Amino acid sequence: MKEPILRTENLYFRYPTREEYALRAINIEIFGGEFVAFIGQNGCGKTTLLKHFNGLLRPTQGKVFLYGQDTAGIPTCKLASKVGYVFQNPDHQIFADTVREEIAFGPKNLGFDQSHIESITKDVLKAVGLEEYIDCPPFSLGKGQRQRLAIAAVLAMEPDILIIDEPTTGQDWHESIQIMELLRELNSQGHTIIITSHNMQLVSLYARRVVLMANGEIWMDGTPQRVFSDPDRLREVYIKAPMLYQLAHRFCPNADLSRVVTPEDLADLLYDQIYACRPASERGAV
Amino acid sequence: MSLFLELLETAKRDSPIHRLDPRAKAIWWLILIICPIIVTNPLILVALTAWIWLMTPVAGIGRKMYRVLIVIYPVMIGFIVITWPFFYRGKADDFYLVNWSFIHLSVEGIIYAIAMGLRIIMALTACMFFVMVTDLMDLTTAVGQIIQKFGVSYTFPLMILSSFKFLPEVSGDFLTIQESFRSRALDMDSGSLWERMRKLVPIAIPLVESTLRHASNIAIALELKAFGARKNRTFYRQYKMGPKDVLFILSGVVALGLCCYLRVKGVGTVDVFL
Repeated sequence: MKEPILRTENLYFRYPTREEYALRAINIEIFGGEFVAFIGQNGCGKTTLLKHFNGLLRPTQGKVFLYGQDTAGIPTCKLASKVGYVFQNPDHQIFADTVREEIAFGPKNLGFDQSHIESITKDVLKAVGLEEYIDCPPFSLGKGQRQRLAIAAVLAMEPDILIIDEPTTGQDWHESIQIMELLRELNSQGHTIIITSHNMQLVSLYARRVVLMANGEIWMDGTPQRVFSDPDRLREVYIKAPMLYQLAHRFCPNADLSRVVTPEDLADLLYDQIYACRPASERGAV
Repeated sequence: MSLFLELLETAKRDSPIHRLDPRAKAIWWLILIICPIIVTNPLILVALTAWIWLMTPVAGIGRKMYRVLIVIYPVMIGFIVITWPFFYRGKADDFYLVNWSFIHLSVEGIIYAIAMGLRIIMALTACMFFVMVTDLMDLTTAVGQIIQKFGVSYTFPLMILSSFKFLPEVSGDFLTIQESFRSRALDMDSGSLWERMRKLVPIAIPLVESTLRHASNIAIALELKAFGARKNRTFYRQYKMGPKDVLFILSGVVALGLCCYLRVKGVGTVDVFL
């Protein structure tokens, strides 16, 4: 049986100065090669949970296991080699004079040798499409480029798991697609991708598993088709399903939406519905 | 710093004490700060501290204030009680536990140290209570209204208010930036003091950048809201002291008067126990 690479066991978390728990009874397993999106309202605990995966936050109660090992007592700087974490605002991590130095910072901390750093810097910059900017000052890049630089800087540490907190915030559609395509490419290369997002359209297009959180708890966990085809549950937490699912639910409220992934699938479903409504004598004519 | 944010949030609660005029609370607080300067009798100081604590349930801040002060109290008392007896210049007939070289530890010295500790505790409790029941925005606006009448620009109170509002933002950014560097395998918890300070250098750059951006955004936002268009600005909320505010100030005045009276009567200081 496949073992999860990340697992939480009855995780509870409370910020030291708060009385209420920010996370409650979180039991989740994440397997290698998954592309998981955490969705939910602001303040529902998405980022708080993800910060437990690389030790930035420690459970008040419960445990986090990485490759079966309890992460308690393992510092973030050690976990960082396995779990890369990209923050929402790339400007919170950019400090170097050049893109090259920015990328090399993490690998240097992990003790990679110089030649390896050189090669990996070029590789990750190529992967994110910034190789021509290698000697440029990072702050001269555009917002989308800085976001990709932040991903590259973490990628250069060769983590198996890549957590990206709201990768497309403040980006236009083109930049968002570029970043999500990059994540899909990394996922196809074997990286486990975990993101948080408010963009349901992108989540439905790219994630293969969606975790809906509300009030510090996991409400739903499943494929995008399963999560987005439950509008009543989504409405409770003020999440609007992507247009595709809204349409599907509107026109085919009783249909099984689990096979709706693309607009073509929806068209097929609608066709089937219309076809089923026609008198038996006319069905063969289509 | 999250504690600071927590205190700022608590100050926005709704309770009979929170609803009082911020100026009344400021005057009451100033009076309460003077009390431990006048009296050093531990019993009076305990009574005054207890009085403040009795008001915390009314303000709905009892639990929160307890959680903050339960950490600070022992540290303050411990520090004072441990260090003060060594500096206390006692009399020859004091009961010395240790009297060697520069160490003169006497029972009288310990009592004196406890009294000094209680002074700090009382002042600290009053300060914490004031911070937790007074919204800084309200206080600054109320003070701004007064000083504007004397021809002083509102820029000054606004500057103070901005710094209070700015501090949590900068500290929040600092924590996030620190976390982002930890995530890039920067080990900030090991090494000598010098090494740890050196590790803060990369953090300083994004922090300065974000601080400047914040400051610039605030300046732009103020200009967009026409701040400075007129010498004097008007205020949406007008503060006016009512009977409850006067009563609140009076309670402080009575406490201060009582302290002065006991001091004059010769029972206001710790000397009655020495």
